Amino acid sequence: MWQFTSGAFLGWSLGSNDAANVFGTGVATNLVRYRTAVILIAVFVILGAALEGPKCMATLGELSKLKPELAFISALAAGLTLFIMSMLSLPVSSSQAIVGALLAVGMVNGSANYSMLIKIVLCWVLTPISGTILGIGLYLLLRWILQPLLNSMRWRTPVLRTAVILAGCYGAYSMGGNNVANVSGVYVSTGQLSTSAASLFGGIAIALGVLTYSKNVMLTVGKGIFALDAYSAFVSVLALALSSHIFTQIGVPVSGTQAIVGAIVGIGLLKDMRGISRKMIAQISLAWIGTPLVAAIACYVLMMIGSLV
Amino acid sequence: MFKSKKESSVRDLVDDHLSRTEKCLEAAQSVFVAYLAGDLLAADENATKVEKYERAADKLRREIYALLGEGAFLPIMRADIHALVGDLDDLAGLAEDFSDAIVGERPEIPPAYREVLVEIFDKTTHQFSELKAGIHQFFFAKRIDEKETRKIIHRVAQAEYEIDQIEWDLTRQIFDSNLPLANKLHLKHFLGQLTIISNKVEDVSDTLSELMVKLQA
Repeated sequence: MWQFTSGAFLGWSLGSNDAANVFGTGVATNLVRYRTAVILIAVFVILGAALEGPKCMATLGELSKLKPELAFISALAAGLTLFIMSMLSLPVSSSQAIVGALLAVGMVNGSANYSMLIKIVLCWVLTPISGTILGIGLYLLLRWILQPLLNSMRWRTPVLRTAVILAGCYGAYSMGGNNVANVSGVYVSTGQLSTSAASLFGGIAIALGVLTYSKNVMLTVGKGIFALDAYSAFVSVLALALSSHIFTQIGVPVSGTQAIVGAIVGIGLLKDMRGISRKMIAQISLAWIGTPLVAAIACYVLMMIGSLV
Repeated sequence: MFKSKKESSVRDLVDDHLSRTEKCLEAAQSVFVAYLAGDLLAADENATKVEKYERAADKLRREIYALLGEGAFLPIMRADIHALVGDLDDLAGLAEDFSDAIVGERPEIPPAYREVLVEIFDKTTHQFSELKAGIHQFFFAKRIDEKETRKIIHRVAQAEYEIDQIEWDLTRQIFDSNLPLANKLHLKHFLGQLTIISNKVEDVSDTLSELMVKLQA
Protein backbone atom coordinates (compact mmCIF):
# COMPACT_ATOMS: atom_id res chain seq x y z
CA MET A 1 0.00 0.00 0.00
CA TRP A 2 2.80 2.45 0.88
CA GLN A 3 4.14 2.11 -2.66
CA PHE A 4 1.14 4.11 -3.89
CA THR A 5 2.20 7.20 -1.92
CA SER A 6 4.74 8.22 -4.58
CA GLY A 7 2.10 7.90 -7.30
CA ALA A 8 -0.26 10.01 -5.22
CA PHE A 9 2.50 12.61 -4.81
CA LEU A 10 3.19 12.61 -8.56
CA GLY A 11 -0.52 12.98 -9.31
CA TRP A 12 -0.84 15.80 -6.79
CA SER A 13 2.16 17.64 -8.32
CA LEU A 14 0.77 17.15 -11.81
CA GLY A 15 -2.65 18.44 -10.81
CA SER A 16 -1.29 21.51 -9.03
CA ASN A 17 0.87 22.41 -12.07
CA ASP A 18 -1.23 21.51 -15.09
CA ALA A 19 -4.58 22.90 -13.90
CA ALA A 20 -3.27 26.28 -15.04
CA ASN A 21 -3.15 25.12 -18.66
CA VAL A 22 -6.87 24.54 -18.91
CA PHE A 23 -8.45 27.21 -16.72
CA GLY A 24 -5.64 29.69 -16.02
CA THR A 25 -6.98 32.07 -18.64
CA GLY A 26 -10.52 31.98 -17.37
CA VAL A 27 -9.50 32.56 -13.76
CA ALA A 28 -6.90 35.25 -14.50
CA THR A 29 -9.45 37.22 -16.51
CA ASN A 30 -12.27 36.79 -13.95
CA LEU A 31 -14.36 34.97 -16.53
CA VAL A 32 -14.55 32.01 -14.13
CA ARG A 33 -14.19 31.98 -10.34
CA TYR A 34 -11.21 30.00 -9.04
CA ARG A 35 -13.46 27.77 -6.92
CA THR A 36 -15.72 26.99 -9.89
CA ALA A 37 -12.71 26.31 -12.10
CA VAL A 38 -11.04 23.83 -9.76
CA ILE A 39 -14.29 21.96 -9.15
CA LEU A 40 -14.89 21.69 -12.91
CA ILE A 41 -11.31 20.55 -13.50
CA ALA A 42 -11.47 17.95 -10.71
CA VAL A 43 -14.74 16.50 -12.03
CA PHE A 44 -13.61 16.36 -15.66
CA VAL A 45 -10.11 15.08 -14.83
CA ILE A 46 -11.61 12.11 -12.96
CA LEU A 47 -14.13 11.57 -15.76
CA GLY A 48 -11.38 11.69 -18.41
CA ALA A 49 -9.13 9.41 -16.39
CA ALA A 50 -11.90 6.84 -15.89
CA LEU A 51 -13.13 6.85 -19.50
CA GLU A 52 -9.93 7.46 -21.52
CA GLY A 53 -7.11 6.69 -19.07
CA PRO A 54 -6.78 2.96 -19.78
CA LYS A 55 -5.75 3.74 -23.39
CA CYS A 56 -2.33 5.03 -22.30
CA MET A 57 -1.62 2.64 -19.42
CA ALA A 58 0.01 -0.12 -21.49
CA THR A 59 2.51 2.20 -23.19
CA LEU A 60 4.41 3.10 -20.04
CA GLY A 61 4.24 -0.49 -18.78
CA GLU A 62 6.09 -1.63 -21.90
CA LEU A 63 8.95 0.84 -21.42
CA SER A 64 10.70 -1.24 -18.73
CA LYS A 65 10.04 -4.17 -16.40
CA LEU A 66 9.11 -3.07 -12.89
CA LYS A 67 8.88 -4.56 -9.44
CA PRO A 68 6.63 -2.83 -6.84
CA GLU A 69 9.56 -1.07 -5.12
CA LEU A 70 10.87 0.16 -8.50
CA ALA A 71 7.39 1.44 -9.36
CA PHE A 72 7.45 3.39 -6.11
CA ILE A 73 10.90 4.83 -6.85
CA SER A 74 10.19 5.81 -10.46
CA ALA A 75 6.95 7.60 -9.50
CA LEU A 76 8.77 9.30 -6.62
CA ALA A 77 11.61 10.41 -8.91
CA ALA A 78 9.13 11.80 -11.43
CA GLY A 79 7.17 13.54 -8.67
CA LEU A 80 10.32 15.09 -7.19
CA THR A 81 11.45 16.23 -10.66
CA LEU A 82 8.10 17.89 -11.23
CA PHE A 83 8.17 19.50 -7.79
CA ILE A 84 11.78 20.74 -7.93
CA MET A 85 11.68 22.02 -11.53
CA SER A 86 8.42 23.84 -10.83
CA MET A 87 9.98 25.41 -7.73
CA LEU A 88 12.87 26.60 -9.93
CA SER A 89 10.34 27.90 -12.50
CA LEU A 90 11.83 25.60 -15.15
CA PRO A 91 9.65 24.08 -17.90
CA VAL A 92 8.60 20.59 -16.91
CA SER A 93 6.36 17.77 -18.11
CA SER A 94 5.03 14.84 -16.08
CA SER A 95 5.11 12.57 -19.16
CA GLN A 96 8.77 13.31 -19.77
CA ALA A 97 9.60 12.94 -16.08
CA ILE A 98 8.06 9.49 -15.72
CA VAL A 99 9.60 8.30 -18.99
CA GLY A 100 13.03 9.54 -17.82
CA ALA A 101 12.62 7.67 -14.54
CA LEU A 102 11.37 4.46 -16.20
CA LEU A 103 14.21 4.60 -18.70
CA ALA A 104 16.72 4.81 -15.83
CA VAL A 105 15.12 1.71 -14.30
CA GLY A 106 15.18 -0.08 -17.65
CA MET A 107 18.83 0.80 -18.28
CA VAL A 108 19.83 -0.42 -14.84
CA ASN A 109 17.96 -3.73 -14.98
CA GLY A 110 18.46 -4.17 -18.73
CA SER A 111 14.77 -4.14 -19.61
CA ALA A 112 14.55 -0.82 -21.47
CA ASN A 113 12.30 -1.04 -24.55
CA TYR A 114 13.96 1.39 -26.97
CA SER A 115 11.47 0.92 -29.81
CA MET A 116 8.71 2.06 -27.44
CA LEU A 117 10.95 4.96 -26.39
CA ILE A 118 11.30 6.02 -30.03
CA LYS A 119 7.49 5.99 -30.42
CA ILE A 120 7.11 8.09 -27.27
CA VAL A 121 9.83 10.59 -28.23
CA LEU A 122 8.30 10.93 -31.71
CA CYS A 123 4.99 11.84 -30.05
CA TRP A 124 6.77 14.38 -27.84
CA VAL A 125 8.17 16.06 -30.95
CA LEU A 126 4.76 15.94 -32.61
CA THR A 127 2.94 17.39 -29.57
CA PRO A 128 3.93 21.06 -29.99
CA ILE A 129 3.74 20.69 -33.78
CA SER A 130 0.17 19.40 -33.53
CA GLY A 131 -0.56 22.20 -31.06
CA THR A 132 0.74 24.72 -33.60
CA ILE A 133 -1.25 23.25 -36.50
CA LEU A 134 -4.44 22.94 -34.44
CA GLY A 135 -3.90 26.41 -32.97
CA ILE A 136 -3.67 28.00 -36.42
CA GLY A 137 -6.54 25.94 -37.86
CA LEU A 138 -8.90 26.49 -34.94
CA TYR A 139 -8.01 30.18 -34.71
CA LEU A 140 -9.01 30.80 -38.32
CA LEU A 141 -12.03 28.50 -38.35
CA LEU A 142 -13.56 29.68 -35.08
CA ARG A 143 -12.89 33.32 -35.88
CA TRP A 144 -14.86 32.86 -39.08
CA ILE A 145 -17.72 31.27 -37.12
CA LEU A 146 -17.68 33.50 -34.03
CA GLN A 147 -16.67 36.86 -35.53
CA PRO A 148 -20.25 38.22 -35.74
CA LEU A 149 -20.71 37.56 -32.00
CA LEU A 150 -17.23 38.68 -30.93
CA ASN A 151 -17.75 41.93 -32.82
CA SER A 152 -20.44 43.01 -30.37
CA MET A 153 -20.04 44.40 -26.87
CA ARG A 154 -23.37 42.78 -26.02
CA TRP A 155 -22.19 39.25 -26.87
CA ARG A 156 -18.41 39.31 -26.67
CA THR A 157 -17.94 38.52 -22.97
CA PRO A 158 -20.79 35.96 -22.65
CA VAL A 159 -19.56 34.12 -25.75
CA LEU A 160 -15.93 34.11 -24.61
CA ARG A 161 -16.94 33.05 -21.09
CA THR A 162 -18.95 30.11 -22.44
CA ALA A 163 -16.15 29.18 -24.84
CA VAL A 164 -13.47 29.34 -22.12
CA ILE A 165 -15.57 27.16 -19.77
CA LEU A 166 -16.34 24.55 -22.44
CA ALA A 167 -12.74 24.44 -23.68
CA GLY A 168 -11.50 24.23 -20.07
CA CYS A 169 -13.80 21.31 -19.27
CA TYR A 170 -12.71 19.50 -22.44
CA GLY A 171 -9.08 20.32 -21.61
CA ALA A 172 -9.49 18.86 -18.10
CA TYR A 173 -11.13 15.74 -19.55
CA SER A 174 -8.25 15.30 -22.02
CA MET A 175 -5.67 16.01 -19.31
CA GLY A 176 -7.18 13.30 -17.11
CA GLY A 177 -7.39 10.83 -19.97
CA ASN A 178 -3.87 11.41 -21.23
CA ASN A 179 -1.87 12.06 -18.06
CA VAL A 180 -3.35 9.56 -15.64
CA ALA A 181 -1.06 6.85 -17.01
CA ASN A 182 1.94 8.94 -15.91
CA VAL A 183 0.66 8.81 -12.35
CA SER A 184 -0.52 5.24 -11.96
CA GLY A 185 0.60 3.34 -15.07
CA VAL A 186 3.56 1.90 -13.15
CA TYR A 187 1.20 0.11 -10.73
CA VAL A 188 -0.61 -1.56 -13.62
CA SER A 189 2.62 -2.93 -15.06
CA THR A 190 3.55 -4.41 -11.65
CA GLY A 191 0.09 -5.93 -11.34
CA GLN A 192 -0.64 -4.02 -8.14
CA LEU A 193 -3.69 -2.29 -9.64
CA SER A 194 -6.16 -3.11 -12.38
CA THR A 195 -6.35 -0.66 -15.29
CA SER A 196 -9.66 0.81 -14.11
CA ALA A 197 -8.55 1.05 -10.47
CA ALA A 198 -5.30 2.75 -11.56
CA SER A 199 -7.28 5.20 -13.69
CA LEU A 200 -9.52 6.11 -10.77
CA PHE A 201 -6.60 6.34 -8.32
CA GLY A 202 -4.57 8.56 -10.67
CA GLY A 203 -7.56 10.72 -11.53
CA ILE A 204 -8.32 11.35 -7.86
CA ALA A 205 -4.65 12.15 -7.12
CA ILE A 206 -4.56 14.71 -9.95
CA ALA A 207 -7.89 16.16 -8.83
CA LEU A 208 -6.54 16.57 -5.28
CA GLY A 209 -3.56 18.54 -6.60
CA VAL A 210 -5.95 20.76 -8.56
CA LEU A 211 -8.21 21.31 -5.57
CA THR A 212 -5.52 21.98 -2.97
CA TYR A 213 -2.51 23.67 -4.55
CA SER A 214 -3.14 25.14 -7.99
CA LYS A 215 -4.10 28.75 -7.33
CA ASN A 216 -0.71 30.49 -7.62
CA VAL A 217 0.40 28.62 -10.73
CA MET A 218 -3.02 29.13 -12.27
CA LEU A 219 -2.91 32.89 -11.81
CA THR A 220 0.72 33.21 -12.98
CA VAL A 221 0.39 31.01 -16.06
CA GLY A 222 -3.09 32.33 -16.80
CA LYS A 223 -1.87 35.91 -16.95
CA GLY A 224 1.02 34.82 -19.16
CA ILE A 225 -1.30 33.09 -21.61
CA PHE A 226 -3.77 35.93 -21.49
CA ALA A 227 -1.04 38.32 -22.67
CA LEU A 228 -2.30 37.35 -26.14
CA ASP A 229 -6.03 38.09 -25.84
CA ALA A 230 -9.07 36.20 -24.55
CA TYR A 231 -10.02 34.68 -27.92
CA SER A 232 -6.48 33.45 -28.67
CA ALA A 233 -6.22 32.02 -25.16
CA PHE A 234 -9.49 30.12 -25.62
CA VAL A 235 -8.25 28.70 -28.94
CA SER A 236 -4.96 27.66 -27.29
CA VAL A 237 -6.81 25.69 -24.60
CA LEU A 238 -9.03 24.04 -27.22
CA ALA A 239 -5.96 23.08 -29.28
CA LEU A 240 -4.36 21.59 -26.14
CA ALA A 241 -7.50 19.57 -25.40
CA LEU A 242 -7.84 18.28 -28.95
CA SER A 243 -4.13 17.51 -29.26
CA SER A 244 -4.03 15.59 -25.94
CA HIS A 245 -7.20 13.72 -26.91
CA ILE A 246 -5.66 12.64 -30.22
CA PHE A 247 -2.49 11.35 -28.53
CA THR A 248 -4.62 9.49 -25.99
CA GLN A 249 -6.20 7.56 -28.87
CA ILE A 250 -2.65 6.64 -30.02
CA GLY A 251 -1.95 5.58 -26.43
CA VAL A 252 0.93 7.94 -25.64
CA PRO A 253 0.96 10.34 -22.67
CA VAL A 254 2.23 13.74 -23.82
CA SER A 255 2.82 17.16 -22.33
CA GLY A 256 -0.25 19.38 -22.24
CA THR A 257 1.98 22.36 -21.54
CA GLN A 258 3.92 21.76 -24.74
CA ALA A 259 0.70 21.36 -26.73
CA ILE A 260 -0.63 24.71 -25.49
CA VAL A 261 2.75 26.38 -26.03
CA GLY A 262 2.71 25.01 -29.59
CA ALA A 263 -0.75 26.50 -30.08
CA ILE A 264 0.40 29.87 -28.75
CA VAL A 265 3.39 29.76 -31.12
CA GLY A 266 0.99 29.07 -34.01
CA ILE A 267 -1.25 31.98 -33.09
CA GLY A 268 1.87 34.11 -32.57
CA LEU A 269 2.98 33.25 -36.11
CA LEU A 270 -0.43 34.25 -37.45
CA LYS A 271 -0.11 37.55 -35.62
CA ASP A 272 3.54 38.00 -36.57
CA MET A 273 4.79 37.74 -32.97
CA ARG A 274 8.02 35.88 -33.70
CA GLY A 275 9.73 37.02 -30.49
CA ILE A 276 7.29 35.03 -28.36
CA SER A 277 7.67 32.00 -30.61
CA ARG A 278 11.47 31.84 -30.27
CA LYS A 279 11.31 32.06 -26.48
CA MET A 280 8.70 29.34 -26.26
CA ILE A 281 10.54 27.00 -28.62
CA ALA A 282 13.63 27.41 -26.44
CA GLN A 283 11.58 26.51 -23.37
CA ILE A 284 10.18 23.36 -24.99
CA SER A 285 13.64 22.25 -26.09
CA LEU A 286 14.94 22.75 -22.57
CA ALA A 287 12.06 20.66 -21.15
CA TRP A 288 12.66 17.85 -23.69
CA ILE A 289 16.24 17.47 -22.56
CA GLY A 290 16.11 18.67 -18.96
CA THR A 291 13.06 16.86 -17.58
CA PRO A 292 13.89 13.24 -18.54
CA LEU A 293 17.52 13.81 -17.62
CA VAL A 294 16.74 15.15 -14.13
CA ALA A 295 14.13 12.41 -13.57
CA ALA A 296 16.55 9.69 -14.70
CA ILE A 297 19.30 10.98 -12.40
CA ALA A 298 16.82 11.32 -9.50
CA CYS A 299 15.60 7.77 -10.10
CA TYR A 300 19.14 6.38 -10.24
CA VAL A 301 20.06 8.17 -7.00
CA LEU A 302 16.90 6.86 -5.29
CA MET A 303 17.68 3.32 -6.49
CA MET A 304 21.19 3.65 -5.03
CA ILE A 305 19.78 4.87 -1.72
CA GLY A 306 17.33 1.96 -1.72
CA SER A 307 20.22 -0.41 -2.60
CA LEU A 308 18.36 -1.53 -5.71
CA VAL A 309 21.27 -0.95 -8.13
CA MET B 1 -26.35 31.58 -16.98
CA PHE B 2 -23.51 33.30 -18.83
CA LYS B 3 -25.06 36.74 -19.42
CA SER B 4 -23.41 39.46 -17.39
CA LYS B 5 -25.71 41.81 -15.48
CA LYS B 6 -22.72 44.03 -14.67
CA GLU B 7 -21.96 44.61 -18.34
CA SER B 8 -25.57 45.27 -19.14
CA SER B 9 -25.67 47.79 -16.26
CA VAL B 10 -22.46 49.49 -17.48
CA ARG B 11 -23.90 49.81 -20.99
CA ASP B 12 -27.11 51.35 -19.64
CA LEU B 13 -25.18 53.70 -17.35
CA VAL B 14 -22.89 54.81 -20.20
CA ASP B 15 -25.97 55.52 -22.30
CA ASP B 16 -27.47 57.52 -19.43
CA HIS B 17 -24.16 59.37 -18.99
CA LEU B 18 -24.16 60.29 -22.67
CA SER B 19 -27.67 61.74 -22.34
CA ARG B 20 -26.77 63.74 -19.23
CA THR B 21 -23.60 65.08 -20.87
CA GLU B 22 -25.58 66.05 -23.97
CA LYS B 23 -28.15 67.87 -21.82
CA CYS B 24 -25.32 69.53 -19.91
CA LEU B 25 -23.86 70.81 -23.20
CA GLU B 26 -27.26 71.99 -24.43
CA ALA B 27 -27.89 73.80 -21.14
CA ALA B 28 -24.44 75.47 -21.38
CA GLN B 29 -25.33 76.55 -24.92
CA SER B 30 -28.58 78.01 -23.57
CA VAL B 31 -26.59 79.90 -20.92
CA PHE B 32 -24.46 81.42 -23.69
CA VAL B 33 -27.40 82.31 -25.95
CA ALA B 34 -29.32 83.89 -23.06
CA TYR B 35 -26.21 85.84 -22.00
CA LEU B 36 -25.65 87.16 -25.54
CA ALA B 37 -29.33 88.21 -25.62
CA GLY B 38 -28.78 90.08 -22.35
CA ASP B 39 -31.15 87.82 -20.39
CA LEU B 40 -29.02 87.21 -17.27
CA LEU B 41 -31.88 85.64 -15.34
CA ALA B 42 -32.33 82.94 -18.00
CA ALA B 43 -28.56 82.49 -18.13
CA ASP B 44 -28.50 81.88 -14.36
CA GLU B 45 -31.40 79.44 -14.56
CA ASN B 46 -29.67 77.46 -17.30
CA ALA B 47 -26.39 77.53 -15.38
CA THR B 48 -28.22 75.80 -12.51
CA LYS B 49 -29.36 73.13 -14.99
CA VAL B 50 -25.77 72.70 -16.20
CA GLU B 51 -24.63 72.07 -12.61
CA LYS B 52 -27.47 69.57 -12.06
CA TYR B 53 -26.61 67.57 -15.20
CA GLU B 54 -22.89 67.66 -14.41
CA ARG B 55 -23.51 66.28 -10.90
CA ALA B 56 -25.78 63.57 -12.30
CA ALA B 57 -23.10 62.61 -14.85
CA ASP B 58 -20.47 62.51 -12.11
CA LYS B 59 -22.62 60.15 -10.03
CA LEU B 60 -23.07 57.87 -13.05
CA ARG B 61 -19.32 57.88 -13.66
CA ARG B 62 -18.68 56.64 -10.11
CA GLU B 63 -21.27 53.88 -10.53
CA ILE B 64 -19.64 52.79 -13.80
CA TYR B 65 -16.18 52.78 -12.20
CA ALA B 66 -17.50 50.62 -9.35
CA LEU B 67 -18.94 48.05 -11.78
CA LEU B 68 -15.72 48.00 -13.82
CA GLY B 69 -13.83 47.44 -10.56
CA GLU B 70 -16.10 44.49 -9.83
CA GLY B 71 -15.02 42.88 -13.11
CA ALA B 72 -17.44 44.01 -15.81
CA PHE B 73 -16.01 43.41 -19.30
CA LEU B 74 -12.74 41.69 -20.20
CA PRO B 75 -9.65 43.27 -18.62
CA ILE B 76 -8.20 44.14 -22.05
CA MET B 77 -11.11 46.57 -22.58
CA ARG B 78 -11.78 47.64 -19.01
CA ALA B 79 -9.10 50.33 -18.80
CA ASP B 80 -10.23 51.91 -22.08
CA ILE B 81 -13.89 51.91 -21.04
CA HIS B 82 -12.75 53.53 -17.78
CA ALA B 83 -10.83 56.17 -19.76
CA LEU B 84 -13.74 56.75 -22.13
CA VAL B 85 -16.17 57.39 -19.27
CA GLY B 86 -13.60 59.58 -17.50
CA ASP B 87 -13.15 61.74 -20.63
CA LEU B 88 -16.91 61.88 -21.12
CA ASP B 89 -17.29 63.11 -17.57
CA ASP B 90 -14.55 65.71 -18.13
CA LEU B 91 -16.61 66.92 -21.06
CA ALA B 92 -19.56 67.67 -18.76
CA GLY B 93 -17.11 69.35 -16.38
CA LEU B 94 -15.78 71.58 -19.19
CA ALA B 95 -19.33 72.57 -20.15
CA GLU B 96 -19.88 73.56 -16.52
CA ASP B 97 -16.62 75.56 -16.47
CA PHE B 98 -17.76 77.41 -19.60
CA SER B 99 -21.15 78.12 -18.07
CA ASP B 100 -19.53 79.33 -14.82
CA ALA B 101 -17.20 81.60 -16.81
CA ILE B 102 -20.19 83.29 -18.43
CA VAL B 103 -22.29 83.83 -15.32
CA GLY B 104 -19.32 84.46 -13.04
CA GLU B 105 -16.97 86.54 -15.19
CA ARG B 106 -19.53 88.06 -17.60
CA PRO B 107 -17.02 88.61 -20.41
CA GLU B 108 -17.50 91.58 -22.69
CA ILE B 109 -18.13 90.11 -26.14
CA PRO B 110 -18.16 92.63 -29.02
CA PRO B 111 -21.07 92.01 -31.48
CA ALA B 112 -18.63 91.26 -34.30
CA TYR B 113 -17.44 88.08 -32.58
CA ARG B 114 -20.77 86.74 -31.32
CA GLU B 115 -21.83 84.93 -34.49
CA VAL B 116 -18.51 83.10 -34.73
CA LEU B 117 -18.67 82.01 -31.08
CA VAL B 118 -22.23 80.71 -31.55
CA GLU B 119 -21.05 78.87 -34.69
CA ILE B 120 -18.26 77.19 -32.65
CA PHE B 121 -20.77 76.03 -30.06
CA ASP B 122 -23.16 74.73 -32.76
CA LYS B 123 -20.33 72.79 -34.35
CA THR B 124 -19.35 71.39 -30.95
CA THR B 125 -22.85 70.14 -30.11
CA HIS B 126 -23.11 68.59 -33.58
CA GLN B 127 -19.70 67.00 -33.07
CA PHE B 128 -20.92 65.57 -29.75
CA SER B 129 -24.06 64.16 -31.40
CA GLU B 130 -21.82 62.27 -33.83
CA LEU B 131 -19.73 60.93 -30.94
CA LYS B 132 -22.84 59.91 -29.01
CA ALA B 133 -24.07 57.89 -32.00
CA GLY B 134 -20.67 56.20 -32.29
CA ILE B 135 -20.50 55.27 -28.61
CA HIS B 136 -24.11 54.07 -28.62
CA GLN B 137 -23.35 51.89 -31.64
CA PHE B 138 -20.26 50.49 -29.96
CA PHE B 139 -22.07 49.44 -26.80
CA PHE B 140 -25.46 48.42 -28.16
CA ALA B 141 -25.15 47.21 -31.77
CA LYS B 142 -25.74 43.50 -32.34
CA ARG B 143 -22.79 43.70 -34.68
CA ILE B 144 -20.62 46.80 -34.66
CA ASP B 145 -20.42 48.47 -38.06
CA GLU B 146 -16.69 49.14 -38.00
CA LYS B 147 -16.66 51.22 -41.18
CA GLU B 148 -19.46 53.46 -39.95
CA THR B 149 -17.82 53.92 -36.54
CA ARG B 150 -14.52 54.80 -38.24
CA LYS B 151 -16.38 57.38 -40.36
CA ILE B 152 -17.90 58.88 -37.22
CA ILE B 153 -14.48 59.07 -35.54
CA HIS B 154 -13.13 60.77 -38.68
CA ARG B 155 -15.99 63.30 -38.73
CA VAL B 156 -15.41 64.12 -35.04
CA ALA B 157 -11.73 64.77 -35.75
CA GLN B 158 -12.63 66.86 -38.82
CA ALA B 159 -15.00 69.02 -36.73
CA GLU B 160 -12.26 69.60 -34.17
CA TYR B 161 -9.89 70.66 -36.96
CA GLU B 162 -12.46 73.11 -38.35
CA ILE B 163 -13.07 74.57 -34.88
CA ASP B 164 -9.30 74.98 -34.45
CA GLN B 165 -9.18 76.96 -37.70
CA ILE B 166 -12.04 79.20 -36.60
CA GLU B 167 -10.38 79.68 -33.20
CA TRP B 168 -7.12 80.73 -34.86
CA ASP B 169 -8.83 83.23 -37.18
CA LEU B 170 -10.82 84.68 -34.30
CA THR B 171 -7.72 84.93 -32.13
CA ARG B 172 -6.02 86.95 -34.86
CA GLN B 173 -9.07 89.20 -35.19
CA ILE B 174 -9.17 89.77 -31.43
CA PHE B 175 -5.50 90.70 -31.20
CA ASP B 176 -5.64 92.84 -34.35
CA SER B 177 -8.54 94.82 -32.88
CA ASN B 178 -8.36 98.06 -30.87
CA LEU B 179 -9.75 96.44 -27.74
CA PRO B 180 -7.81 97.02 -24.49
CA LEU B 181 -5.28 94.29 -23.79
CA ALA B 182 -7.22 93.10 -20.71
CA ASN B 183 -10.31 92.54 -22.88
CA LYS B 184 -8.26 90.76 -25.52
CA LEU B 185 -6.77 88.40 -22.95
CA HIS B 186 -10.14 87.79 -21.34
CA LEU B 187 -11.73 87.02 -24.70
CA LYS B 188 -8.84 84.75 -25.64
CA HIS B 189 -9.24 82.88 -22.34
CA PHE B 190 -13.01 82.62 -22.87
CA LEU B 191 -12.50 81.34 -26.42
CA GLY B 192 -10.10 78.71 -25.09
CA GLN B 193 -12.72 77.56 -22.58
CA LEU B 194 -15.16 77.04 -25.43
CA THR B 195 -12.85 75.28 -27.87
CA ILE B 196 -11.41 72.93 -25.26
CA ILE B 197 -14.82 71.21 -25.22
CA SER B 198 -14.34 70.22 -28.84
CA ASN B 199 -10.81 68.98 -28.06
CA LYS B 200 -12.24 66.76 -25.33
CA VAL B 201 -14.91 65.37 -27.68
CA GLU B 202 -12.06 64.35 -29.97
CA ASP B 203 -10.20 62.74 -27.01
CA VAL B 204 -13.27 60.60 -26.28
CA SER B 205 -13.47 59.56 -29.92
CA ASP B 206 -9.76 58.59 -29.81
CA THR B 207 -10.49 56.29 -26.87
CA LEU B 208 -13.42 54.85 -28.82
CA SER B 209 -10.96 54.19 -31.64
CA GLU B 210 -8.67 52.28 -29.23
CA LEU B 211 -11.62 50.19 -28.08
CA MET B 212 -12.41 49.35 -31.70
CA VAL B 213 -8.85 48.09 -32.15
CA LYS B 214 -9.12 45.91 -29.03
CA LEU B 215 -12.41 44.49 -30.23
CA GLN B 216 -10.66 43.26 -33.35
CA ALA B 217 -7.87 41.56 -31.37
